[in-house]
Amino acid sequence: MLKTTPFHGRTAPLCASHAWRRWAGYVVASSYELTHEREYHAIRSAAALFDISPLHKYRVRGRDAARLLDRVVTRDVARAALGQVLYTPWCDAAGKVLDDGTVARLDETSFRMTAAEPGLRWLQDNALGLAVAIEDVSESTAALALQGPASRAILQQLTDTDLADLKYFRITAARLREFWVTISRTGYTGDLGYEIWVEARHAEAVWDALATGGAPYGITPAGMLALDVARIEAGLMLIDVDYVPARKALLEAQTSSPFELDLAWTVNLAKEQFVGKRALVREAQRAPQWQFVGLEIDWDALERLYAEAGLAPQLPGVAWRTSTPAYADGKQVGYATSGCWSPLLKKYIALAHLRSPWAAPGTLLELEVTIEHRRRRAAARVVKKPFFNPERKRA
Amino acid sequence: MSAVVIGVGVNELVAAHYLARVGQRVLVLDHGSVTDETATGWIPPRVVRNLELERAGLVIQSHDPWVAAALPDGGRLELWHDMGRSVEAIRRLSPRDAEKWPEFCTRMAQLAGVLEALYTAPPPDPLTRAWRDFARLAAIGFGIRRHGRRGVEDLLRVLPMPVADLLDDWFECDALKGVLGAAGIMHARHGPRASGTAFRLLHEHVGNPAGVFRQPRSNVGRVLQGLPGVEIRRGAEIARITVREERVAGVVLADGNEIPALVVVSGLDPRRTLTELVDPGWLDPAFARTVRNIRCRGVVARVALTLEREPGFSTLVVAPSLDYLERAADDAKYGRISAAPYLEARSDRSRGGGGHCVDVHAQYAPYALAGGGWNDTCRAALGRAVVECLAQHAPAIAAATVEQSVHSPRDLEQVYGYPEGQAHHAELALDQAFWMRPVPDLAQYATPIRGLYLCGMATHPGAGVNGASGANAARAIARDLARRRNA
Repeated sequence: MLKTTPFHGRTAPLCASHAWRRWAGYVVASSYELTHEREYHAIRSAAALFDISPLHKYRVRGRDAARLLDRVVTRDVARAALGQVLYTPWCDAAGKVLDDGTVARLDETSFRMTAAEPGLRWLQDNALGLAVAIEDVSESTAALALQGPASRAILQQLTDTDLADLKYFRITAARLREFWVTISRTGYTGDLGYEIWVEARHAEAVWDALATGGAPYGITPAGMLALDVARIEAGLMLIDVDYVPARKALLEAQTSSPFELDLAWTVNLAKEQFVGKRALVREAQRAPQWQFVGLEIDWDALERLYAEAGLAPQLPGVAWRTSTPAYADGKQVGYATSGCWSPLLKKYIALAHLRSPWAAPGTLLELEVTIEHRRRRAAARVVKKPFFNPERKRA
Repeated sequence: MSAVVIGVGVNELVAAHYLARVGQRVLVLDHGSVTDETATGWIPPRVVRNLELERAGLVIQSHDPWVAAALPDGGRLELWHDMGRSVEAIRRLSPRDAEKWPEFCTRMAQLAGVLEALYTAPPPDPLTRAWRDFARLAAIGFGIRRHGRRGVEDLLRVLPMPVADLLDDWFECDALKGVLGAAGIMHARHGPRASGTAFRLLHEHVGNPAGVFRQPRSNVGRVLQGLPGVEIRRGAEIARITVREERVAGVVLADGNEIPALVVVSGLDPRRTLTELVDPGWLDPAFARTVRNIRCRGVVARVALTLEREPGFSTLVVAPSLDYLERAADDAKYGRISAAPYLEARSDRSRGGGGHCVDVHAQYAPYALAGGGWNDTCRAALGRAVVECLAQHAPAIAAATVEQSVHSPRDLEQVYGYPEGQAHHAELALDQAFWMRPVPDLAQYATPIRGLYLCGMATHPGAGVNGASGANAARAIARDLARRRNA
């Protein structure tokens, strides 16, 4: 039986499209309206409200809480400041990525970890010999993402906590109307935005407060289709789509190290110990075989290919998630795993895994496109991620 | 210090002396838990030779008869080193079985010979690519084939077999089958109808003459402690094993003293060594889980009786039939102490300060009791049951017992450091034997922490073979050290 999130009482009546999808055993909206376009534009020009409750959430508490997390993730948790949030992957002993998520330091000995995959057992396995209590709070904690340029103004009217002081990737406890919540300046859109964590029993009340307070700013409930476009623009990878978590991989070749996912910056090899360190130290001495990059498909080339078929260019209405070969000098050098037309940038963009020799920005490649049932190759160029990186994200 | 050895058991001391002989400065830390100075088990001749143990005063006490089994009518079935005497003893109960005894003994001795070859070296890795291991595998294979088709068939058929089926194949006499079947379940939670127990019978047989299915006792522990060449530090309780950069750095004692070492060899069980003394953060969590899942499940209590007079036996086994043993195991399966336990009693004149001492191996007394833990009431009840059971076969005992002390598996864990009270450190079953002892990743004595090795009873070949694990571990260590010097 699929579960419903604590916001379902609010989201269900709004979901005119009836386009629901599964996420970690819950139903969430793909889009509320018949198409996701208005929801996407709310992210970039007003504020969009997402129900992200299906994320797996763990509360890690105790004298050794930081030690446990430091054993698990690749980043340095012990050195995280109070109120800091770390984005980080975590690996198996072979240094292959199991999952990625965030670790938020709530106080000296208390953390909240979010994960895409269930991770309780892995945390417990790693907690051997440590004074730490791990609690799965996935069901008891509801979560919303409020993303977009108006998000700060909307949230600020509802709380006395000065949000101007809340820097990018920081978290704070706050009173939102009469409810205690935690607000983190995080998100999956690459825009100014916040995530609000609240006890499930107050979920609907918090939704109502935001909906009412946000109405003058054009707050719009948004679904996963809009989010997918925004996260590609932000160059953010998605588990199961852009990489295969090591536990689900059928072949070793399907697994990825953090270095191969452009996450070298998250790997702190100076830490005394963490799962996968030995393998990652070895890998760091070589260059990674693969890199995870941005691709921009050349408009003129695409237009020409469509013209040859007698058509005007047709663009994907929603983000695609099918593995698509990329070529250089006639041979395949990699594959794109997700892509979309960016309505904001007016560019056709994709995220791709490329063999290292072809992964430098500016490298010219060809990406397979299917035009009138025929496989063609459109010119594409490796570009720096993120595709879209507004100043307001960090300001 | 170049090598620190944790523990003063036979394997630890053998490993220490072997390492000393390849030029290591060795410190042995007696970490405080009690060790049994008279060890039960066969000692590989090579260890005796290499360490010149005979010159140092090694005495092997092999009892003759090697077993005296209580018969329901009050008599005894006694089996001897001398084949003819055993045949005569069996003939009184079953002429048919007496006829078969010599052939049974020959066949089992052949199989035990194969195990003996496997036991006196590190286990070959069946997935090996190294030429040396490959050659050893081949040699073992040819060694087995030397016994002909029947030998190979026997081995493949017998190892995984329930000891009850093996014995039913050969014999009809309950008493004979009971006393042999008992060797197949000693210290294991299984009963004789569980598969793999025939392997255990052979394990008890290895190193002994044909027709002897109990291990001898010896003073090897005391002899090794007196042997010069290594320093033994008493009362040195280990707080932890320190690791730096995934390599062992030394040990820290409970008093805070740190002893740096290039090599640390632990005779403690793998769980204690790797997940308590080492910071488990150094291990792959999946590996740590397999270490924690090593099956231990102690089922033996040790009962010491003090008597005012002779008990009327030197050894006495209560294992009257395979059914009796299976029923005793059934209780343990559900967390109960056996209503009618399997007992091996041995009277010991040398101990007891004037009185007579009887040491009893009482099986099954499971570590984890259903419906609550071990307490004095359980212990006293077990003690009474043991005395009553022995008294049925040696009536003098009931009146003569002046004191009884019961060590439950929990007590054995406390006193001797046996994990879950398991004297073998890891249950000796086919899936935890040879290149899978205690788990495949630890079978070559090395651990994932470089420089940290295991040499205790949980490693191949383990309990019942005194010093083989220690000698094998020392060989593996010496090879690694030589490799490191050459690198």
